[in-house]
Amino acid sequence: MTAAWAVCGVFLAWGVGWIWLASLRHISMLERLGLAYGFGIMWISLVMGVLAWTGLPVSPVVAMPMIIGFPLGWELLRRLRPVRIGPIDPVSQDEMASQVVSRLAGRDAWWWTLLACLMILWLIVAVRAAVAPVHVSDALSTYAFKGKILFSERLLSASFFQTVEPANYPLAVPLQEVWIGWLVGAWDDWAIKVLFPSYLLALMFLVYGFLCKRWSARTAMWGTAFVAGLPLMFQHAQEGYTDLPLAYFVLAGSVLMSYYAMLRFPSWLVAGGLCAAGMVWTREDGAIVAVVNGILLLAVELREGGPQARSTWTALGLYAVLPTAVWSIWSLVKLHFGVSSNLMGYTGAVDLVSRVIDVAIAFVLALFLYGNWLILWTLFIVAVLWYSRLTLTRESVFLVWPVVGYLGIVAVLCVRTDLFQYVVGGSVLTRLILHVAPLAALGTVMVLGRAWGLAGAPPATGNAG
Amino acid sequence: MFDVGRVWMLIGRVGLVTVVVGGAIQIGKIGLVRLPDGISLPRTQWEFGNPSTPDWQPLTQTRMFRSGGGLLLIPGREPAAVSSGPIDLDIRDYRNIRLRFQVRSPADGVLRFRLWSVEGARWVAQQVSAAGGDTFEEIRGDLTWGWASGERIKEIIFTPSLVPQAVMVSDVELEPANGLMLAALQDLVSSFPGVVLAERAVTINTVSPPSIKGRSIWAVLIPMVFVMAAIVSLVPDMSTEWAPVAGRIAWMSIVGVWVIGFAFLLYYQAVALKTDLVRFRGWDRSVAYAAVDGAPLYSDLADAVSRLPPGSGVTFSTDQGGFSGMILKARSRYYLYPRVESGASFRFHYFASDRRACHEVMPDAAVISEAERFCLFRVPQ
Repeated sequence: MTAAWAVCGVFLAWGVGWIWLASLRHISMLERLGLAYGFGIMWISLVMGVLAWTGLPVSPVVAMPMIIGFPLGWELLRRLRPVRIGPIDPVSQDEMASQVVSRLAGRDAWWWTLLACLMILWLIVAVRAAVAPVHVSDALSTYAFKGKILFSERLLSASFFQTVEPANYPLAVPLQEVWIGWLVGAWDDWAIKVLFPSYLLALMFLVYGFLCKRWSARTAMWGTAFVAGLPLMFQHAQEGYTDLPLAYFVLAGSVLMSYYAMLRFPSWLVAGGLCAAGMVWTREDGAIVAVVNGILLLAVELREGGPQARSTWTALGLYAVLPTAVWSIWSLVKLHFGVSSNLMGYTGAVDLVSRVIDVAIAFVLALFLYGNWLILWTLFIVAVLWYSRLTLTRESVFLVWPVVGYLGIVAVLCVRTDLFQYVVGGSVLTRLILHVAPLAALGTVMVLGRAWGLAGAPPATGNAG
Repeated sequence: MFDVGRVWMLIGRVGLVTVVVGGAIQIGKIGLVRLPDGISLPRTQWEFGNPSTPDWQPLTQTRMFRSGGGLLLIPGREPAAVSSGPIDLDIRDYRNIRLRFQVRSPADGVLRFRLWSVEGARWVAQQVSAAGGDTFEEIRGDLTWGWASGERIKEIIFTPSLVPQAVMVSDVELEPANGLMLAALQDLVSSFPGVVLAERAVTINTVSPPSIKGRSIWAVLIPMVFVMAAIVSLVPDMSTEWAPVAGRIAWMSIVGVWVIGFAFLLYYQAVALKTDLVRFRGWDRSVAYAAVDGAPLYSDLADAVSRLPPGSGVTFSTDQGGFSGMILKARSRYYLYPRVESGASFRFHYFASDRRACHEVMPDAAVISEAERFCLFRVPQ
């Protein structure tokens, strides 16, 4: 019964996100499915965070009406409006079902084999997540512990920040675990892990949806397997860390931003901003990607309209408003409770050359020689070096350059700050790389797919894969 | 006509190829370093002259020094002895144990193996002899006597000379049963990285690669993929007859390497699933907690809490030091919440390994309850 309620919590998050995404235009069913989970679960944890910030009790009685009520009200309003603003192509349910069936029947053996492999892998990690309680160090003593306290105390207090460690980490994942606790009716070390395989599943839906809109189904499935086939990502899908959720929001945010770059609908920009809010609400280092995306957006806008164009600054404002608000509110909360940031301090004078060499070796080991990424980074480097022009297209700029920017900033931080000690001789670097690895894989697939002529013909319409 | 643009493009391409191939060579060179022990296959070779080889542990008051030639063992009152520490190897995978060491006087020594099977643990001793002198001697101990039992080697203890004298040990190696080539294949298909995925927390940071003799196979494959990718990228600029064929071969090689990596991902995750299902057998929650804690900490804490007055706070302490002790404290804080508080009237003391009498732990405190692995005290305020 506990498991059923936990799964119900995930479905509810998916449903809430599904409703919120109704206003996004030109979105395929699979993309909507992929984005819905992230949007839903982020909405839930943001509402809970706002309640905690305002001093209201973080309890189901107070939060549920807001979590469910707002999206339902929005949906009602949308349906009552004379002009339907939803994006779904006006096809009947029967038509859609028959389209899906006929398309599935037309898939070749490669497509089915790859799908079977991905499904088996996902099922394996889902079962692994289900049989074990949350237990790996930070998953238990940092994130689940915070969730357990919030579940029990129902408010953010000074004693909360004195009890937990590190106190400055954002609360998205602990609050999402509280959400599952509410549905289950008790704090359960098994049930809360249902969140993480779901992030992986949503990520796979999103990638396949994105690719099959452009390429043939078989090539899209190969691309999805390439993006999803990252061993460290599967390992994270069975434990309650924040790295996979951040990787999901980084990927989703960049996909939305690249749609904005291509289609120029402001709604994509707001959605991209919500993903950026998801990044900073999940982990502090998510702010790096959010900022890099902002800089890229500014560059794209300046190229389009120049610095005088009002749209340039409006676009930047639309994107930045949500992540800035979340970051600011969380900073105020920390300030109020006297929580200092554990952002790494400047290390002062060091032997720069030897540090650069140490960091370079740590990067080579982490990117290529452990079992985390297969051949991802080899092909990514080839894509960036060889086909740099293709990486600068509207379609690819947000898929490739946030990765370069993030890794570049991490490398500088490793050389110049105390992060060095966690990276050289430790394994933290691979988790930092995980934040952008799925995005790097998608960028690589897009660039090399075009450059090497791998992309087949796209399907006639983009609503099903 | 001299086409400047084309020359620049050519220079750029040559530069890129140089960077990519040079980088690939560097990656190969760095990859020749043995992987860290946490994610590598179990070590079966110790070259003590190499600084990166971990030490064995001295026993019987032996003083141990690392020198250029290996481990120098100075005996106390008893003969010098060293232990491998905990290892976990299937004896059927090894034909011989090879030892290289030096003693001054002729000596008889002993090699002891702690073996384990589901029927229990036992020690097996094997005699070794050295002629003595100024040079290193190499001896081989047969391991085929253990093949029928299917036991696992859990520890090796080496006493080079039963007469106390200084000894220099330079190498220990368990020689594979199948010859080097087959042993390399055995390394490659080892399920060990999958078991590690399930059992070791470190895999949340890094997943073990498939490896041969402690070296990641990616040290060879990644440079190859770099070169193949360079070929695929150069082919469109070439007008020779063989270019498309080379491009296709290179492309198929890249796909092949990816498929191999993906197959390993599937294999390791399947092994991890099997390991997890065995570890957390029967969905029994107390068994699962004991498996992840390495001790029945959760059920012991629940037992202790049931003996406390309702709503009372408790502090946690343990004999376990170091990182394991920190982990136990963090876990107990989580399990006991909201009961844990500093300055509480009760204290829960946990014995992770050796049990002491409760009054030895806190002589001034009243013992209100005790069990196999814990004492519960009322702390004087």
